[in-house]
Amino acid sequence: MRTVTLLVLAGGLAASPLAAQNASIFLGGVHARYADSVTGTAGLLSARIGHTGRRAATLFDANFSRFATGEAAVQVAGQGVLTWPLSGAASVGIIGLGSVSTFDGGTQSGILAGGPVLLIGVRRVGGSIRLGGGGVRRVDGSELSLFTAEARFDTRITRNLTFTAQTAGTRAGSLRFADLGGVLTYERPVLRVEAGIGARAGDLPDNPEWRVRLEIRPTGGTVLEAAAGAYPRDVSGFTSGGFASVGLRFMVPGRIPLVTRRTVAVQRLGRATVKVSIAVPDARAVAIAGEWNGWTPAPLARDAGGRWSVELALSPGVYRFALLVNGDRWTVPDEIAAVPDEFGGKAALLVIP
Amino acid sequence: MKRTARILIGLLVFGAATALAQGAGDGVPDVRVQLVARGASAELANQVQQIVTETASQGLPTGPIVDKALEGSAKRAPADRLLTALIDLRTRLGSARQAAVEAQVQSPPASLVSAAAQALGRGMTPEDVRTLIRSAGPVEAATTGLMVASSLAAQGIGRAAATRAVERAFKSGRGSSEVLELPSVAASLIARGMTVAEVTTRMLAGSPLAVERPDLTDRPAQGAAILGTQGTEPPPRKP
Repeated sequence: MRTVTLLVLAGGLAASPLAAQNASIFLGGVHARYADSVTGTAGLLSARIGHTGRRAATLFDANFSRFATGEAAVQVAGQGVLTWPLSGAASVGIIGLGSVSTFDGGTQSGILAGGPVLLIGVRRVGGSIRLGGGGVRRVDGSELSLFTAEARFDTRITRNLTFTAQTAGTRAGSLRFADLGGVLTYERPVLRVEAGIGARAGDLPDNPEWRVRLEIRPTGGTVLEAAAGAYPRDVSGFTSGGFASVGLRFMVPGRIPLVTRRTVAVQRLGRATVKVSIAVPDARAVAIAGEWNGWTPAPLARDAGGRWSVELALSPGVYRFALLVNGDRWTVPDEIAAVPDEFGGKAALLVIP
Repeated sequence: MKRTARILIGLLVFGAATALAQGAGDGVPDVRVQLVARGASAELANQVQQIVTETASQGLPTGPIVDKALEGSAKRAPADRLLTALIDLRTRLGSARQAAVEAQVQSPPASLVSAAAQALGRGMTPEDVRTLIRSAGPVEAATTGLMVASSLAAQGIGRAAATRAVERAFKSGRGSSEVLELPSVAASLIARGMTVAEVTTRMLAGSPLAVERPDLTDRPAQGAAILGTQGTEPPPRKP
């Protein structure tokens, strides 16, 4: 069955600054097997905070890991970008990032880099070119200068499926190597699956890199994350290895999840059948009426997380509708295009692409 | 109980009245039973039916009138407000058909006239309607374009900008399915923090999906020296 999730008319006309922020706590565990046959199992506690504005975005992660053998590791990383639009299809910007890893209180390694970025996007295709310069402190205490050039290509294959190809060239001290990889991502409101592979040529050859990631969002505030893969050696001096991890990410109340769950989501179930899911928190009963059913309220089924859903036989088009909440109050969902109904209320517009 | 009794009495009165009066006529939908069943008075039901009949006699589609009447009755709109809304809509339907004819659609189908009337109701001008119909080509696409332009206008994008955005989309070769995505794209951009004015600019530039900034939750290039963090990967490493 072809299933397509369409995110419909979800934006508010006056999104508050907080609506673009995200903050979360992650609790989980990881098992890693390194190339030198050392294995480790650790519990993970991490925190993430980020903000996305019109011209700037930041994201910070702090991870604390405690191995079963008692050692502890801390990884802190941050990224920031500032952009200026050149036209409707292109922007330029500056990206800065840094990360530090410590093990049992002693500094292991760190990276600090930054540089310009060019972003281009037209219709279903986007891409970027980045240049970066900075330095690396390796686990053995030595320091290397760092230069990178990276190109990225994104395309949306279907509404749910995207493909990203990336290539990067790196010069770190006397080391020179190039990476090429691709990631396929399938995303629906409650699910995100990502699979990627990569290969390297140059001074740090390694086995092909691969990884899979799964995110399940049973509610708007909780995300189940699981990942596994193999990663290559890096310029910090770490060996390559493989890992598997699982955990729960809890979104801080008042912030949106990593991927926003829209107020109204439409999932195509067949050629002329769609499932409409609408967030109506704190309602005891919700019915939907619209021009497709002669404005006869039809009850919605209660789903998790304050959402309600119904299957409708609708072909592509724009339909006027309204919700009847608790049997006595006509309303329209938040953050959706709506028009005056000429009776003192509103009618929302449901777009079925 | 009171409401049920009122409906039954209304149906009886309505039945007696219609037995004496002429029927709705061939091809004209009869909305009276539905209205009375929803609690409308027989008098109101007959007034609505008269508007429906007059609309049909003018060669205008009656579907939008019936739909608006049912919406109003479902929402318990006052009778005078409902009738005013229906008469206004009938006027818009006439203007919409006229605009379609002027756009060289000699016999505009009901769906097109209805969509054009909806666009006029969102503040679009007859010239906007003509522009959209001409740029779309097939009548089905024109209907879609009118509905999408109405949606964009409802999202706060000016009617002229909404018209140009849809017109540009058609002229650049986009099909109806892609044009139907424009409202969600606009909403998505607004949700990402762009103002309506910025979204409008981007729509008019013909590149609504342009990337403005990288998504920092995406990992940087795989294997590149610059490490991105994804919470659980890469895992912590023992020295």
